[in-house]
Amino acid sequence: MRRESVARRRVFLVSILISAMAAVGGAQPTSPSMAVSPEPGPPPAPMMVGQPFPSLKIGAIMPLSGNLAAYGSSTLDGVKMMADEINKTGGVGGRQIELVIENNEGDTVKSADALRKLEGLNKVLAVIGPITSTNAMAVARDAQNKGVVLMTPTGTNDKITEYGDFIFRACFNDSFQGIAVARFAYEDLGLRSAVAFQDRTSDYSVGLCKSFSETFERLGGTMMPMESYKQGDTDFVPQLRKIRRAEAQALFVPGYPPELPLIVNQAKNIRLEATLLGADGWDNSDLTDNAGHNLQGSYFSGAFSTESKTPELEKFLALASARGIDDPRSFEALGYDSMGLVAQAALHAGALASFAPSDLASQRRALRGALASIENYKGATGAIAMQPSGDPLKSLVILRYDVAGDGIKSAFVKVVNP
Amino acid sequence: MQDFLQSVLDGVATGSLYAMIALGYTLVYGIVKLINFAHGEFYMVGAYVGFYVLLYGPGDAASPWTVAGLLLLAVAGSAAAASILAIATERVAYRPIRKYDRIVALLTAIGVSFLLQNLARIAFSPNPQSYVAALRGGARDLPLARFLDWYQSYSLPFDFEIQNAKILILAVSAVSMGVLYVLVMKTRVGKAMRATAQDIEAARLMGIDTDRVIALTFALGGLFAGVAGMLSGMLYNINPMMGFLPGLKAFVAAVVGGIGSIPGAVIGGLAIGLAESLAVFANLPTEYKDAVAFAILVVILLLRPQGILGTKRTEKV
Repeated sequence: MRRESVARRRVFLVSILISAMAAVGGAQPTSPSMAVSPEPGPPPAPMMVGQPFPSLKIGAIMPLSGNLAAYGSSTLDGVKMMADEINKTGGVGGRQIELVIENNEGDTVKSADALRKLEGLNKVLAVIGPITSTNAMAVARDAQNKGVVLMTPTGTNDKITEYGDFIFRACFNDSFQGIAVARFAYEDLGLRSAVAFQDRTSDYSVGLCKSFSETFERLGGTMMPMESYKQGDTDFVPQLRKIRRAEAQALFVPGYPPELPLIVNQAKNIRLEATLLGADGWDNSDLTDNAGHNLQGSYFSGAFSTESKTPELEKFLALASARGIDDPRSFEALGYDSMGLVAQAALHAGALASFAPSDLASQRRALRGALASIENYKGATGAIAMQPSGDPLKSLVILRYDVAGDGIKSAFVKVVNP
Repeated sequence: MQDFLQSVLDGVATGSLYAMIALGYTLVYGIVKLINFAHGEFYMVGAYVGFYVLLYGPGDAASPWTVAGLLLLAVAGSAAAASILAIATERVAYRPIRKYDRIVALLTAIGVSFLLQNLARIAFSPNPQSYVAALRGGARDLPLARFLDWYQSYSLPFDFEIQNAKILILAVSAVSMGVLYVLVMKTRVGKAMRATAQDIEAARLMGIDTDRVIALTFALGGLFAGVAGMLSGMLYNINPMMGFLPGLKAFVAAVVGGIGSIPGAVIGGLAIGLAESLAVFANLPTEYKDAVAFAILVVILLLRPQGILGTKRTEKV
């Protein structure tokens, strides 16, 4: 073990990044600690002063405090899981990944500041984040202008990737998500009338409500007048009463905590009978802790289900539980896949001549090109093919909340392919 | 018709919460002519202290009685903490500048507001927390969590849909306003407060310790704000910025009612609460709900700048 050769370690790395994660997982050296490199001897030992292989700097913009802190820390956990795993097995072509983390508190101005700092001061190769559409759109133009790759793990608004060819995402976009949920409601659940309840301060929520409404009407369903709220609201009973009066069969609420659990609880408190439908923001422990049994029988779309048994997912779950995360959700998984996609692109780009350590701008361009040409990346959230637009081609799953013992658990319902 | 009555009841309950906060603005303004913009932060601190008392309070709250005891302790704690904070704010920030121009005091108050918000971010974490979620875990908290579920749910007397919390809020605010009225109108301390409000110099010449009266006024305002903070914190969730919007609306309520007038604050609070609720009933898009209070403010300032119950003062230049 100790004298493992460079070649062997490279093979390890490539196999992890490209395909056979589970196979490697079985043969993995034991140490669960996240020590960067236990190898003292052989030359490619990463990251020492004066080494020929400088570290690979990747920025991360995440909300680590404030309303969205739960999502930010989950996503960052996923990013770190992948980065540590890559570093433990020799880095990207011998270069260790060095994460530079900025907390944007879910704020657009702080997001823009963070991007400027990461790009200009830290000279990162790529930025992972921000996680919400509104924040991602606040930095996308700058990222494009500066020519630094922006990979948002969970920013689903359609417009994000339209800012340019340096902007990517690891998740599906809202059109696909809204369409999938609307079709599911109409075709599988047989619901014929619905109300959309949108957070008008969130580009994510507005975009989803639009695609849901259009699809539901195109299928032949009736959309009742849309209701709205804004971030920071706490009392939703007036709107919910209006929705109850409209007697819609479904209520689509593509929101986030802290508003989302209040909406769910208040809807149940006033005995609103519509079936609650949500999107990927529902896959979150803040919601299940706060709304509990009130979630029973509601449906939402998610990036993955722990019930699909791909080797990549098994590997991800094993890594998560080694970190003490027993019930990882979309956000961990998409953070993990974002880091994986960037690392694989860096590996491909490393083979290109222009990937010399000196010229940052051309490195970033090479990385962008490599990322855009990823055809079959097997991630925790399934197979990903990157389209020229920066949107991945991938499937989503519909999940349902059901009471399980004292708590509430999401159960897999079906896969929807693009 | 039933929807209309429901909206009225909702409006009255929300309005009484605004009124409880507005009392603090109006008391303080009546006496030192200061609009204490940090008042919303007393409300926020009350919510947090109540939260921590319930979370770490003594006794294993297994029986209904210990639950009731713990709740009373939490209410007392939030009232006391907010009062103490109010007194401290007055002593540290406002008293030293009392002799300067009123604009200085106003700007100081805004500064204190930001300072307290950010201190709370450090002390309590900037992330929103929820009474219900925090109290759901652990055996000792079960009856408490059940109380909170009751508090948030709706009972249906006479076919109306009234949230239990709203009834409790209404009762608590009615009692505290009554107590305040008696205190100000029927006691010696109240007389001293009224005298100080009329003319602080003359009151001092008559032997009233005006510094103490002012401190007491702040304490009273803080007390009501703290209790209101806990009552609404149990209903929704708590975060360091939670005092901002209710504080602003209560300030509007105080101005609409006639700043400086105690019954004015009550009327103003109820008027704002009712207007908001009826606007939604009248099918105003709900996104304009927050604008209603400020629209009323504009109308009142144009038509009756001294407020509904305010008296016109002639400013001596």
